Amino acid sequence: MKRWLAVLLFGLLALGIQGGLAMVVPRQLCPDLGLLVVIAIGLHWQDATSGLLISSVLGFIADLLSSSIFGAHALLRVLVFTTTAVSRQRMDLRGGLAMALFAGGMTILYALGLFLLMGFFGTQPEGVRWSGIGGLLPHALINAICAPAISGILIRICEWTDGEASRRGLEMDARGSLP
Amino acid sequence: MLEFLKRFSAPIAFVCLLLIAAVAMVGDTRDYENADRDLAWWQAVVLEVAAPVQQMVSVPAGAVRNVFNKYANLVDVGVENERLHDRIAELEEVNLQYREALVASGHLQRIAAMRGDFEVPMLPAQVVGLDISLWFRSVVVDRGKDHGVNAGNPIITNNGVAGLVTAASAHASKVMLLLDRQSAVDGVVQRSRTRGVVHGNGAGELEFEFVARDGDIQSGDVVLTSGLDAVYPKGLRIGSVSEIRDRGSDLIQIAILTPAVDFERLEQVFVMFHQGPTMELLYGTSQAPADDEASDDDSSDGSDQSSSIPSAAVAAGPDRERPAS
Repeated sequence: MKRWLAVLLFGLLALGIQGGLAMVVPRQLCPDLGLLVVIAIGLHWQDATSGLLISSVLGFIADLLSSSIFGAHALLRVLVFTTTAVSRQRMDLRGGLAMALFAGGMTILYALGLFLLMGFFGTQPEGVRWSGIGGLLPHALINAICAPAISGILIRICEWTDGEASRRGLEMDARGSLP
Repeated sequence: MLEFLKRFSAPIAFVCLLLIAAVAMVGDTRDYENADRDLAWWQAVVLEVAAPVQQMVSVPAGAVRNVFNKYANLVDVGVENERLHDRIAELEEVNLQYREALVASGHLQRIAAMRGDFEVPMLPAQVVGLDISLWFRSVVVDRGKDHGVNAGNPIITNNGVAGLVTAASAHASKVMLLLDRQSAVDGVVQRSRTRGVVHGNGAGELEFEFVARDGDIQSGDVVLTSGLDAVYPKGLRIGSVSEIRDRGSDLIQIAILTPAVDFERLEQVFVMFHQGPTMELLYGTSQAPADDEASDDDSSDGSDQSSSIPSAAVAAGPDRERPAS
């Protein structure tokens, strides 16, 4: 429970920092910390059910801090968690480079998913605009760079809340996950 | 049964959460159509918690940026200062001539009498955070229902229209910017009175859609709010025409506007306690706080507590209905 709360607070803090950071950093170069927290949870959280719940809650909070349709980020973050959790079973994503590449790819897929969802609900009639792709690539790159750091922070938080128990409970390799 | 639930808890949770999110999305679009945009209690709590966190990050970072910018600006400050002094002297002279003309025709007295009718109470607010998604354009400001801010209140800066409050908690509000694809403003070209609709195109520009038949638009034309959408007051500056896109024989033509407001450096804004008839229907009646409440409440950066429209936001010329105070 303590770990749940700590990770939720970490996610909320990440979203808050992201909103504040966007005011001083160019938008494309501002990392999507909320998304990276969900990817980190997907990489390290052992219990899929609680991981899904936390990802969903963080998604709903993200919806509130964005002008997207309420529920869009929640839906996509549940999918991101699931994709990450399934991918880690089939690939070794513990290394910094693998994690960075995965986070960059997920950023692009997330943006496409968001465009499609918004188009489906009629708030974005023009669909995907190629002009947006130029901004997406630096955004994916900055997310890729930040992903190992966020992953490392999540591991530290879990270790701090659970002590030695978290080392057994989490599927992680701290050496590989740290930046 | 319990064994089944335990075994398949993750797939069940996955499906349930997807369904909940989908239902939330459908509900949100319906709420939007039915104009019910009040925040639920837990949403208000999240906004209340998130706004100070965003402020903690944005205020110190903004201060550092300001110091850097001020230092960089010092390089040309001497030359610019001299140029501005000349310009002030020139404008003072022109202003004096206008005043003389107005006094002579008796207009000044009438305008002074009208002023009370057109002044809209306003509240300064600080932008504390931007939209967390790269693809949407909204901001969070540090004023909420406790300050009299309600969904539907227009947001302006000293340069022009910035957006509209879409949700408010006790001490924070979410503002949808003009740049957002979902925003739309009825605009009019100041020179030719050509009317059209202005909305964001998602690429940091504004698009002005107008009917080609009677559209007289040139590059550099200033576009103002027409007031006919019953959302924004008339005569506020939206932007200027930077490009006209030829769409062949299409009835609707598009002009690209450069926004009057620099959305990348949006820090200080003003909440207008004005709700046109449309907004009152959508969001309910809003009440401006008492004068002392609005003016006593300290601004985040100690800026001037203006209670009227900043002069630069209101265009000069035929639409100048609200004299700057």
